[in-house]
Amino acid sequence: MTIGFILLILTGALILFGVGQRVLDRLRLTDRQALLFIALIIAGGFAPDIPVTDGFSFNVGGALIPLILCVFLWVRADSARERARCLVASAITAVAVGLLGRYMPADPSRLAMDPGWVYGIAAGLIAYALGRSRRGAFIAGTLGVMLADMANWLLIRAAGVDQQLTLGGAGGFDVIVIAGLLAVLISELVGELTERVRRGRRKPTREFVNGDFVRREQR
Amino acid sequence: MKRNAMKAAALALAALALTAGEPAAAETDGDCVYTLLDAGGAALTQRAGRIYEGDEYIAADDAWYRVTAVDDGAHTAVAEYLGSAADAQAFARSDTLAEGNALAEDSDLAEGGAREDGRKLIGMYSTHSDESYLPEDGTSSKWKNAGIYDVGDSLKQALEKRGIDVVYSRETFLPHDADAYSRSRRTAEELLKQGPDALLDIHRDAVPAEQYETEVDGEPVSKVRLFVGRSNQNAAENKAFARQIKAEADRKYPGLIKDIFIGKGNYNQEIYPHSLLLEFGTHEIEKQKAMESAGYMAEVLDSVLYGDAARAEGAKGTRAPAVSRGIGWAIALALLAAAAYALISTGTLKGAWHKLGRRASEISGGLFGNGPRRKP
Repeated sequence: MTIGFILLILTGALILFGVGQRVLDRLRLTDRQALLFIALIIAGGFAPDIPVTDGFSFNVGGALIPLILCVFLWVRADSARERARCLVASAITAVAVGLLGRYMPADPSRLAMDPGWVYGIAAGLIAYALGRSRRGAFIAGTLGVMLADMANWLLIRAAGVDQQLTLGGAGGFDVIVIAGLLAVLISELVGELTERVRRGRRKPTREFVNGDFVRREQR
Repeated sequence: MKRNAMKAAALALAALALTAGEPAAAETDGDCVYTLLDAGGAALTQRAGRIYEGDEYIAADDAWYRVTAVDDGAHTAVAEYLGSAADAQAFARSDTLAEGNALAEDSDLAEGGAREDGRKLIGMYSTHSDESYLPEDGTSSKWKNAGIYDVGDSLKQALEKRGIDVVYSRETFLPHDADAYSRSRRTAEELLKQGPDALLDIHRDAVPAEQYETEVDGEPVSKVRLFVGRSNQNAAENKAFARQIKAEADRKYPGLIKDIFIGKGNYNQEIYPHSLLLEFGTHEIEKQKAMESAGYMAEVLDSVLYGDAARAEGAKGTRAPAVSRGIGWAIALALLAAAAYALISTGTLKGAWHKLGRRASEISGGLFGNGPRRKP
């Protein structure tokens, strides 16, 4: 592999690192926590997959770390109501992902965007509609795709095909990670847009500092 | 909560309606075939799937076209002739193919021979793990023991006979739906961990059989189409790889390579610059013919990756700047997305500029951009 090839692949990883860090930063994580998680997702992608049962294994960066992050965010949610909303959003996202995967065209050229992006957008919209929560969006995107993946695997196995499932097998570039990160960006974008429409030309009253929104002092 | 759930369900259904198209099955059994025409209305080729404006096509005789119009009602597309792919002067007029041309001369393949450890390794998988051949398999789609794996096995065995190690994943990625490439990407990434010299996705086409019928050395075999996804940062490298394979096959076994189709989509080719999708025949052709052509393809691949062709290309010079072009595109897209987001969230150019400055400062530790305002 030449230096050019390595640089080309590294560029993708660095962009994921930069975008991922900025996205996780919106989840009330500190800069260090966000950096740590995104670094673990990328590095974990290169670790050997961990087998669980016959035909089922998972990748550390593509599944385990995102799952740990989901649990971390879920436990730290503000209320039992928000925690419930996260789970409902994940279940609805899983159904939406399953249906979208089945009915979208199979030929990638006929898709306006990568399926992972579609799932991220769906999860972001669903989570925002349910609770205007960026954390909910990440959990819905990540868990929703995981659940849909496992449901598909079980259906294929039930049909008698010895199909393997390596959850998150593409590491940091897996559809699970892409959908989780994009869901946050979408809910953020929808949130910013609706907030801006409501605010009009007035200055924002809140500011995002160190992973949390704080009331901005009026100057 | 109930109202919110209703809203969420409505949003999910709206997203579904927006993205739903013809069901996947229509793309596997030859029902959704587009015909590419030249400016005079003569048929150039067919594709099982939609053709888009901007798609490129390099015919068997190296005539190079770009699609300018698509008629979805008639399932046809019209392409303008741009020159000969074998003519460097003609390519010089095109950014994309000039880049591909330079790369074909100077690519990584051109370094000649196996890697430092001396191992020759090719990774292979079949994203559409149900693809089968009607004459022998009895159906065009089989969930178990699909015909495409017989063709993949033929290619693997032929490569191994030439001293090349092949890791051919026989994993399935069912069903044949929009997620098939997401599922196979996991296997492709796993194969990449072993550092292959090329990563091949083995498919068969779904156009009429006569499109793929040919003879090589007097023996009836199936043609092979090389398919490049143009929507990814590795497209120039992938195109160069395809062009090298075609040039070598044209020299050794004229007629073996049907053509190169450079279409919309990424087909997992964004994960590795030396990845390529190969279409061995079509659902209507005899599988045996596709298996025979796999033997010839092994020889071509060996020559391009490790043999005379690689050494001859290696003598031509230094690497072209197409890799940096790919990196440039990736970074430009990321910056564009960041700028669009900043503009939407602030509503003014000044606000967007300030926001981008803040982010640049945060990411670079204060080296670039403007830091947060401090109270006097």
